[in-house]
Parts: sequence; structure tokens; C-alpha cells
Amino acid sequence: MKTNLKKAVIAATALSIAAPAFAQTELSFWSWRQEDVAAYGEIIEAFEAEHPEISVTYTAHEAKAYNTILTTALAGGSGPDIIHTRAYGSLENISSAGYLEPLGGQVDLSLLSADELLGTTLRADGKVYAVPFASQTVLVYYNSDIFEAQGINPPETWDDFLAVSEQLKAAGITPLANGTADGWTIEVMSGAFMPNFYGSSFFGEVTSGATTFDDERYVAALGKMAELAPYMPVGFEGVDYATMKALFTSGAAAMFVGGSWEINGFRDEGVNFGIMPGPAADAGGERMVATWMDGGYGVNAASANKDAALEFIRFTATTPFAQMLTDKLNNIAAVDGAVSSDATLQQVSSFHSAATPYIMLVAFRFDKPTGSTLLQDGLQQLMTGSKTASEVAADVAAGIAAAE
Amino acid sequence: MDDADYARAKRRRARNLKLWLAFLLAPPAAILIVFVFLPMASAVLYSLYEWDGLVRKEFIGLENFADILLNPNKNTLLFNAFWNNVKVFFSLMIVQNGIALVLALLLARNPRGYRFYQVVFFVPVILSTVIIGFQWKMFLNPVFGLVNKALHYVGLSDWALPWLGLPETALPSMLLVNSWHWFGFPTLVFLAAIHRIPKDFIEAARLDGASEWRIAREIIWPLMAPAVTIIVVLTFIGSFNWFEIPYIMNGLEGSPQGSTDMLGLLFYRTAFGSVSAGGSDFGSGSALAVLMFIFIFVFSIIATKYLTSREVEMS
Repeated sequence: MKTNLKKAVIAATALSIAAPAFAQTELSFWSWRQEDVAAYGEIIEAFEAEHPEISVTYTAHEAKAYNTILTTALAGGSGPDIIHTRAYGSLENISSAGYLEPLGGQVDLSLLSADELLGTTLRADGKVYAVPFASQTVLVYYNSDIFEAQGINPPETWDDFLAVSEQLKAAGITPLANGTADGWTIEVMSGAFMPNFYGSSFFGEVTSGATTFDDERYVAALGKMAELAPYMPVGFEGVDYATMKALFTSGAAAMFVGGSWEINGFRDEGVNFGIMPGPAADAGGERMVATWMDGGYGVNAASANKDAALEFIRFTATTPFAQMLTDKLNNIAAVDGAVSSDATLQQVSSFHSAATPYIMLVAFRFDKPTGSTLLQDGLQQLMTGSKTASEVAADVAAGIAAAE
Repeated sequence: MDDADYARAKRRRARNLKLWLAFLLAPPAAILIVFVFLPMASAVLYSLYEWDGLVRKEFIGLENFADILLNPNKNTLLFNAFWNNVKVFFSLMIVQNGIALVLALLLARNPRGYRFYQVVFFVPVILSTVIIGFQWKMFLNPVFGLVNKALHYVGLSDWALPWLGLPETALPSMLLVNSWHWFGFPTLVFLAAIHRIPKDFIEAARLDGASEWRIAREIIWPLMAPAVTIIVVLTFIGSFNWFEIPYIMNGLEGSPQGSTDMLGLLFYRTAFGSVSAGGSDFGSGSALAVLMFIFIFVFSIIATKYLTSREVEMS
């Protein structure tokens, strides 16, 4: 026993002395995911075990400041070797400036669908600049304990949804935790309810220019959003994201519309919750979930260690990597082949059979004013009743038409 | 010691003094150059170029300025933010500095507990703006905030509003928070100015039978004019650079619907981008920063000159 220990100590010491002699390539890897430091540490260990010649250091920056920190570093000619990028409009900001290495021909992207790659493809040249990592999905969370105590089943149609909300309200429970103080949270909320009213073909038509946002389907969908105002918290105009979460996790509110990234947080808070897609317009109607790519992994075009960095990027496009993302981070991985053992995540994946792009983020955040700015302002006015659905739709359509 | 020696010693002292001055002035001058003048110069330079996101393209002269002033996509945001800053300036002048003036006049009469009040009024000034913004955001929360709880408690439930969520009340709420944070500073400056006025002026007026109001209006107010000049100019600069409270309380977008948007927030969003509002645009952002600087600089000088010319000298 003792000699074994001695041997181990000697071996470890020898290894630590010998390690630098392998002339390791050191890669820096930046991200905004501070919550995921430990998990990425384990994922990187797995990579380094296969590639002892490379070592990767993961640095997570403050999420809100990440874009600024990254773009400032890149503009100054520095920045990390491996970049955790955002997707769509935010990716375009750095890829169009030439800061990212095009991945075509250097990385096998066969395990990714065209829709997924859309998130990390630059529209101007059609090249892929990052391996998409995970998708986000807009979900309706409900407190299972409250539903059970009230004898409520998860509502399936719009009418059911309103009836359930009415019943909860009568019982003194706030039906929906959502507020409008943080504009982005009301945009997320619209992602759960509006698609089932404007339908699956609307996205293609509005992005191709065949129709605009003052389309009557979109107006009708906005009108449905306005019907939810009475079921939101008292003073919802001033309810921000933190308050929304507090209302739901404390059991003061029965439902919460939010992204799939909330799953871990709600679990940590010990909430007994279930998830569902937004209600169907009519019985038997489609129940679509709005989804988008959250970001990807790219290589700094100015990196001195491009080959080693590409080696890591190739690793992120494999099923074992996707499996680790799924297991360690509860992400819905973009790369195919990962299987989750988690029932809730399996459920989210199953919702993807009726997925629709989260419209403003996916297609209208390239020009200014962005569709998100327009829709967030419009929804705030709609929910407080200072504008009607058709006025809001007209504002959004006019803003998009004038955007540049 | 003959004259030549004396002259030499004098020269040496003068030289030593110059060396000392250079030694003392060099570090702050270096800091000013590196952290103030160079960034300002680079902002001016940046504003004259076309930018594709983060990449500098060709020299385009004043096109960025024309763009932010004339392009309806940009100038509506600019004018809205500017108008909000104007509202901030006048509101703070009336509320924050008005309260400060009244308190200074009261404190100048040495009431009981004078020291205590002086300290209490100044305490919010030394607290961090971040803490105050966050704290008041909690107080004003419509669900569990102290303000609405208190209103319910005293039977004024109808008055309990989502203060920061309505375009009509968001900016006034923030202005009250800012006034609460800062009123102690002008109070102290005004009080010091009142204390500088020779006591015999006021006593003589009292002996002549002048009312307290008349003493305040015709003796104290004109003689404290230098302090008023300082406070007006500082309030002006602070109002047009206002950023922290709106950013902490309602975020970068000037929510709801631009009612709390300020030039500072607009600059930040334009130059660096935000998740909802889109990518960065250094050209427009730099042009906006230059315009803000010119406006604040020029108006501060004009205001200082004008207000100083109206000050009366104590002889």
C-alpha cells in the first residue's frame, strides 16, 4: 500500500516535470456561460485526454458584457483562440468583420441540420463560421402541485387555457408570472402563444417578403396576447425578470412562460413543475414551440494556433461532445445523436417535432431598429392597452420596412 | 552675500520650483492625456470614418453626424433621449436643488440638532449609486415593494402603481430617486455659501425690520450666487450625462417605450450594441459622443459666464 502510494507520487512528480517537454499548444476559450464553468472543465478534460498535445483554458465573462468584451478584444487584434459565439445577428457582427475562420471543408458538419446551421451562417457569403451548440425552446412551465391541488389538467387549447387561468385567479393564485418590465421577457412570452395563431407558414412568408407584419394572421395573434393581460400579476408593467421568477418559484403564480434555460434554475429552487407547448388555437390544432440556436463554437481567424483550435472545433461537432452537453448542462444539443436520460429534456426534444423559428431573433435582428425592439415596445403598449393589436402590427411592419 | 550671489540663488530657487511643479504635475497630466484626451481625440477620429460593425472603412467626413441628425431611424431616438435629458435637468433643478435650498436656509438658522441633520442629509450622497438604484428598484417593485405596501397599508391602494413599468411614472420615479440620492450635496454647498455671508449684513437688516423672507431674497440669495452657479452647472453636466440610475433601474433600452432613454444609454446601445437592439455601430456611436461632448462643453461655458456675470461682490 505504502509503496504504491510512493510510486504514484513519484510518477505524478515525474509527469509534472515531463509535461512541459511535450510542447503543448495552449488554447484560450472565451464564453459568456459563467454557470457552466465546471461542466466545461470536465468536457475539456475529455478533449485533452484524447489530445495530450493541446491544453484548453475556459474563461467565462459576465454575460451582458460579453459581446462588448469580445468585440473590443477582436477589434484590438487579440481575443481568444476559440470563441463561444452567439447566433444570427450577433454572430454577423463579428463574422462579417472577418474575425472568424470559415469552417467549410475543415470541420465535418454532417451531424447538423440546415436549420441549425442557419444560426451560424453569414448571410452575405453563405459560409458557416461556428458549430452550433444548443437550441433554446420557449415553454410554458406550470407548477404541478398547484395544478393538482386545484384539480387542473394542463390546458391543451386556447379556450382551456383561459378557463384554467380564470379558475386559478378565482382561487387567489396569479395564473401567469410574466411581466413586461423587461422587454425581452414579453417577447419570449409571445413566442409561446402567437405561433399557434399565425401558423406555420407565416415565418417563411414574412421572411421572403410575401407578406408583412400587418398581415391579419399576425394581428389576430397579437389580439390573443392582449387577452392574457388580466391573468398576469397585478402591476405586471413593473414586474421584471427577477420578480417573475420569484413569483413562480415561491408558488404565488401557477405558470411561467420562459426559455428552456430555466429548467436547471427551477429545479435548483425545488419547484415541482411540468412543461408544455403553448395552447392550440382550436381543438386538434398545431401546438408549435418557438426555437432558436443559442450560439456556436468558432475559431479566431487571427489565432496563432488555428490548427489546434480547429481540432477542438471538430470535437464539438461530434456526438460524444453533444452527449456531454446534454448530460452535464441539460442542453438540447444541436449535433445529432445525443440521447438524454432526463425526462424533461426528452419532452423538450419531443416538442421539436412541431418547431417554428423564434421569429424576431432568428430573422429580424440584423438591421436597426431590430424586430425585437419593435415587438417589445409594441407588446408593452398592447398589454397595457395603450395600443390595439392592429396599431402594434402596423408599427412593427413600418419599423421593419424602414430598418437598415 | 553680494547681488550676483543673490540673483543666482534666486534663479536656482526658481528652477527648483519649476522642477517641483513639473514633478507634481506630470503624473496627473499623463493620466489626463492617456485616459481623457486620447480617448476624446480617438472618438472624434472614429466619428469621421465609415464603420462596418467593428471594422473601420474609409474616411467620410461628417456623414455620421448628418446620419444621426437627419436619418429618421436614428434621429427619433436621439431627439427622444435628448428631450428626456432636458426634462431631467429642469426637474432636478426644481426638485433636488429646490429642496436643497430650502433645507440650507433652514439649517443656516442653527436649529436644534443642526449637526445631526447635516450628517443625515449627506448620508445618501456617500452611498454607491448602484446600491441606491437597486434598493429603490426593490422598493418600487409592484409585487413586494415597500412603496406600494405602504400605500395599501394607509388605504391608498388606488395609488399603488407599477411605478417603473409605466411610461408616465418611470422617469419621475427615477428623478425622485436621484434627488433623494443627491440633495445632500447642494444642501451642503448652499449652506457653506450662506455661512460665508458676514453675520452683520443679516443682523443689520433685521435691526432695520426686514422680514425673514426679504432677508433670504435680497441678501442671502444674491450673495450665495457663486454657489448657485456651481450647482447649476454641475446639475447640467450631471443631467446630460445621466446614465447609472436609468441603466440600473430599467436597463439599457430606456424601457418602457423609450420613456427613460437618455443620451448616455443611447450612446452605449449604439456604439456597443445590445442583445435586443442589435450590433455595434462605432461610427454613429462616436458621432453621438462627440455631439454630447460639444453640447455639454459649450453650454457649461455659456452658463458659467452668464451666471458669473450676475454674481454680486461682497465688499
